[in-house]
Amino acid sequence: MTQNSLDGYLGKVNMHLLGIPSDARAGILAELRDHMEVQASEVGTTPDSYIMDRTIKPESPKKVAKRYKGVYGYSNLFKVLFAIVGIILGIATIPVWELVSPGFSSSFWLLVLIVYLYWVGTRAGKRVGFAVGLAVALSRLVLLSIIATALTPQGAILDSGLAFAFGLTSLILVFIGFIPGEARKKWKERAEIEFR
Amino acid sequence: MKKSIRDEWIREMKRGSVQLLILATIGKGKKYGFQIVKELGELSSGYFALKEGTLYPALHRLEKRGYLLSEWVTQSSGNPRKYYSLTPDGTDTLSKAKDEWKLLVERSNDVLEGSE
Repeated sequence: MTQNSLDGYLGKVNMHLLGIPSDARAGILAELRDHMEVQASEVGTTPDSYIMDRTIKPESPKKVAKRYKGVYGYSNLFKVLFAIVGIILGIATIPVWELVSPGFSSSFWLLVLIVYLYWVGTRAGKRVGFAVGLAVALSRLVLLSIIATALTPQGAILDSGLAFAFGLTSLILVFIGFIPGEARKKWKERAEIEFR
Repeated sequence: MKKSIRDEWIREMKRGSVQLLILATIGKGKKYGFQIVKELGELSSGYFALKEGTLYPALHRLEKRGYLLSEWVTQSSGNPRKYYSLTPDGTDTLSKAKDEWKLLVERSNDVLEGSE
C-alpha cells in the first residue's frame, strides 16, 4: 500500500494502530481523514496531493499511531496474547527440560523472557507489564510444582536451594515489566507534542 | 549554546503550554480539530503550528481525562466530523491553569528582569 494518497496514508496509520481497541481505531481514522480533507481544501488542493506535498509533510503514520497507542493502550485481546506468549516463554525457562533434551538451555529462554517482559512493559505500560509478569511467574511456579511432583513422587528433584532460586527469579519477573513501563510514562506524554 | 539544545528548550517551553492553549481555544465554544489548529496558529501568528498527528492524540488524551466531551456530527457531505467541548471539569481546570499561567509568567519575568 503506497503512501501517495490519503487512503494509502490512512491505511498505513491503521496498520500501525493494530492492537488498540477497534472502535477507537475507526474514530481516529475518520477524524484524521476529515482533517486532511479540510486542510487540503483550505490550501486549494486535493487530499491526495496534500499527502504528497513535501512542504506540508504529514507525519509518519508510525509516529502518529504510536501517540494514539500512548493514549488508548492495547486492546484486551492483545493483553491476553502478551500473557500467552509470556507463559509459553516462561514454560521454556523451567530448568527441567535439560533432563529431557540435554542441548536445551532454559537459561537462554530466561534471558529471552526478561527481554520480552521489558518490551511488554515499555510498549504496553506498567499495568500490562506487571500483569503479564505475574501470569508468567504463577504459571512457572505451578508448572514446576506439577513437574517436580510427577517426576519424583517425593518431589526430590526440587531441592530447597533450587526452589528458592526459582521462586526468587519468578518474583523478579513480576517486576521487570512494571519498572520500564513506569519510567517511560514520565517522559512519553510531553514528547508526543510536535510542531511544524 | 548548541543549536540542538536551544531547539529542544524551545520545544519544551512550547509543549508545556499547548494543552492549556487547546483547552482555552475550545473554551470559547465547541470546535473540531482543524478549527483548533487554525485558531491556535492564527492567534499566535504561527508560533503554535501544531501537526495534526500531534493535536488529535492530545485531544483524545484530554477527553480520556474528563476535560473534554466529543460528539460526532454528520456534515452535509455525509462525512462525520468530531466536535469537542469542555466538560465542567475542563472549565474548572482551564480557569485554574490560566491563573497559574499568569503567575508563572509574572514570576518568570521578575527573575529574567532581575537578572539583567
